[in-house]
Amino acid sequence: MSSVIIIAVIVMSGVGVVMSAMLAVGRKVFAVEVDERHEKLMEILPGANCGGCGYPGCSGYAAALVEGKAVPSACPPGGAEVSSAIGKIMGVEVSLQEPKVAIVACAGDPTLAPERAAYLGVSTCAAAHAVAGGFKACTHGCLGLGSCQSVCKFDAIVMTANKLAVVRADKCTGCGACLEACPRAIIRLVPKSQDLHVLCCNPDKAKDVKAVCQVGCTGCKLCTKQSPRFVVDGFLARVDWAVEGDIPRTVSFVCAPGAIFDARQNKILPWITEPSERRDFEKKVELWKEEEKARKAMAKAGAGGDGDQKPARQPKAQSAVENAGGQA
Amino acid sequence: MDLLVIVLLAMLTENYVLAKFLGICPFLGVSKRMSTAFGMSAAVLFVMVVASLLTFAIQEFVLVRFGVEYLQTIAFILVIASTVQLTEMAIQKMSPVLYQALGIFLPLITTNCAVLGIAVLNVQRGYGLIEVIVNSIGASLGFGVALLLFAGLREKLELRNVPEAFQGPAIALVTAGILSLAFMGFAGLAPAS
Repeated sequence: MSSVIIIAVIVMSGVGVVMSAMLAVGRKVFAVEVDERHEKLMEILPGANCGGCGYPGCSGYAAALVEGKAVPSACPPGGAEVSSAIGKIMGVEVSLQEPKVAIVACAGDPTLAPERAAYLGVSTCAAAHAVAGGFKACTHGCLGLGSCQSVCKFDAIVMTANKLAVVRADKCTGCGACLEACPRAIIRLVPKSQDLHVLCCNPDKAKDVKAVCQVGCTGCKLCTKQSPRFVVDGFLARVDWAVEGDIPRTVSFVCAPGAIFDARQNKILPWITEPSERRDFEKKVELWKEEEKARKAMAKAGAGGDGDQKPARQPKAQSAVENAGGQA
Repeated sequence: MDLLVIVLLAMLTENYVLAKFLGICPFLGVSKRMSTAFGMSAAVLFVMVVASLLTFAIQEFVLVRFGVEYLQTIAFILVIASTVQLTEMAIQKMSPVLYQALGIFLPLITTNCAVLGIAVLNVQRGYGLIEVIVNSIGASLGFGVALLLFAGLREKLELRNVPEAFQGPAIALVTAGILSLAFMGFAGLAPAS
């Protein structure tokens, strides 16, 4: 009886020893050389595998760094800290870049930019966009199906109750994953320090924009007169980050549809979601307009009437049209 | 027995996944994308052939010789696990791309019951060396056919409007069941014996 047990034990240990010997030899034969810097890099990288660096995950980025193909400052979620840590490991100088955040350049929820049809298809923005240009009347507006939210690894995108995507700047790392998920290219990367944004992507003429959205940029160029940082390409305003200098707080007041968002005066989430926030803002704008009117009237009275007897509003409108014509 | 019959038997009539219900874990786990399904099938093909040969040798030269056939299961599992480990090392060295693509599923073949199943079946049927090789190739091809068919169906399912209650694994299992029923039709191919 005991011999049966002994034989069984011997056979199994024999098989086990042979197999482990095979594995040991295999480990030597098939040893893969790993650069120790790769492991160190993996420790400091955020591990989000967001792809913001352009490589497949943090491991891919670390491999590219070790091979010298990637620059240390390419990790958006890591920011300056990780960049300098990478620089230390790799022994290179790091030039710092300003961190960027994503912003959804559309504020037209269905109450402001109506839908033209009911959409019952696959619930991704790309699919909805592919069907006759989407279910929204505005073909450049946020479809609100949350494709950007689903690719965000940092929970930085909020879908509002009114079907609009909003990026939370405090959580956004600027990896850019949402930019690729958006079939309409509404999401942009902007420098984190910037306060002013034009929340519209519709390049159409004023008449066409007004027909589909109440808060779309009409290309009136009033903002360009407030600050040289605003540029109008065709019929769509944008902010030119390269231009230096302060911007008057009134720049968002002059925008008739209210397409300019000013982070110095409002926060992005209530601005998009709370109608009361916009109403408060509009009251402010009314107040400012009256002040302006009064100031103009005062100036006119001070100048003693230079032959122009028309009310104050009309010459202002006229000059705006003239200027627009001159710059177009 | 005719070798062609063995291949057809292992591939269709006795399809390891759809008729014998072995290896369901990777069948459901790796069948979301066609490309990973293909990689997994290739890995299984390789592991199955190697494991069949090794277990055949173990059975012939160790278990039978020392009269300890009752240790078959534990010995086979040991051999298969080590073989998979070795395969993993070899693939990592020779083709890092394939290694990345297979990911976690390569180690998972260790616990793939289809691999153990074929090793045991080879012994039960008393196959010789050539027949063992042919049978394991046929079985792994059958595994591949089932996996690729299923992956193709699942890729199409992703774009369909599935009722909410059936979304995800539920519709996958229903699909697998129907596919299995369809494969029952191949039973007619089996020789009368």
